[in-house]
Amino acid sequence: MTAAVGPPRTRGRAFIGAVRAEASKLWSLPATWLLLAATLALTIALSVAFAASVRSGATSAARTLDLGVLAVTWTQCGFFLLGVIAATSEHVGGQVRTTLVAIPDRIAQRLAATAALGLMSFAAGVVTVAVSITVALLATGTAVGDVGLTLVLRLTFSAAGYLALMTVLSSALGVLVRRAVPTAAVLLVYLLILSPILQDQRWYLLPDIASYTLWFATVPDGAPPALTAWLVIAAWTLVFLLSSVVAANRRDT
Amino acid sequence: MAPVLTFNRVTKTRGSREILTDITFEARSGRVTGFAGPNGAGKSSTLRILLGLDRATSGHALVAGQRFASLRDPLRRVGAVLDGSGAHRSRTGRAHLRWIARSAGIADARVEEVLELTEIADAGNRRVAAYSLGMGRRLGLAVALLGEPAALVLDEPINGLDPEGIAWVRTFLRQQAREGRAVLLSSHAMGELAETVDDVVVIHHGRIVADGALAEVAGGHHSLEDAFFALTSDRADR
Repeated sequence: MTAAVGPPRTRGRAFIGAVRAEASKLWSLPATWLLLAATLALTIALSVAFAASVRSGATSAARTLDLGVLAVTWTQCGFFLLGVIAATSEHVGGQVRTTLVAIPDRIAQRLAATAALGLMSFAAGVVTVAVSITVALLATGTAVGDVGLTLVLRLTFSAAGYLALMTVLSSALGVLVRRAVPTAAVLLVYLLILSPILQDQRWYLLPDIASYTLWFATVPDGAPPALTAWLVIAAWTLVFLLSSVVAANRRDT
Repeated sequence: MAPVLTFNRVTKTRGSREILTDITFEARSGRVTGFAGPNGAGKSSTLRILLGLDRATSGHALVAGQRFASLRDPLRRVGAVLDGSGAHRSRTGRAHLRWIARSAGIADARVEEVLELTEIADAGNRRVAAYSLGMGRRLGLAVALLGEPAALVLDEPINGLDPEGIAWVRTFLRQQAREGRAVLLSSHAMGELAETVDDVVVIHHGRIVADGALAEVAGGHHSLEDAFFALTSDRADR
């Protein structure tokens, strides 16, 4: 027999269910773990290589911490790709239709997917950055006390927050484009080619360049204050996120 | 028997082309309604509008009087099987069912029940990429049954299945109707519909050309298949 249908859930309970579903979806996708594991492994390898270029005791505490996060400036690509895969995997096997039948409120679905992805990428960011800094400290023979635990924690959580927001931004772009390869190509060309060029010209209105103010111990000359940097990153993320919500809400699937 | 799924003057245009024109019909509890038409007639578009996946240009499709997109417990109202399994190929069947169950607050025990019910429990831990077409369809049915819904909507559920698979789906759907569900299935395979449905709605070029009990629609013809060809041939249009 069909089950008796009771009173409908509240909007809040339906949203919590949607967040749990989106988190479960990310958790059970093998590509999520492959990507995060590869990002961590590459971060460790680069961190070891960068630290090896500095003789033990021959550098300042701030410089050691900068070395500790330097690898992440490259391996942040892994977080961008995580966002792309989270969004575009919906279009493999017609999963997007299953998603929208299970969570038909499209605005709630996008926000739930964003919340789940943001939380997961923040946790992964904390682990990746903490490991990267730890490797640099160990490789240079620097004690945490020498660089200051508070500073280490601030840089770690700032970097993780930035990585989480960029993962969300990438996911929003993936929702707009709907295909993994072009979305990833756009992001990687920006990160690996355009951004390094523009960084020398101090384009602090770009999110990744603004973020270096937040997670490097040595703040570049002319860099904006932390609050401005966060506003720049949040503004970019919001623009992409809102565009993706509007697009997802309007389109036929 | 109350209508569970209702279409009221649903029209859909894409660009300057009208895909659907004034689609009006119902699917009732305890009955299997066949939604028949040639390929490209507008069956899938109609079902997608019902499920909120596409938007109607005018008119409306309702589930127990409500728009699907406004439902907060959609899985408990309608179970849907669209083309393919609707699952990502690299996820296991069990993991696919579990994330869907989370969305509706359904316990994992129910996931195991529907895996048993659709006879794919042994394949639950295999990746969907390794599923045969029939197993993918059964996974889709398992998803549809998760919330023990009052209605089932299936788009071409027997397409590409072998005779054994077709017989299984037919028996399964009849059982679902006996349990009180409204079952709406689209198909272009008339011979198979005739052995499964109570009511038939025929669509051709985006318009409903027949709607009634099986005997009524097939009346005056040797078979439902003959009736279908008579209703949907180009000569019938002129």
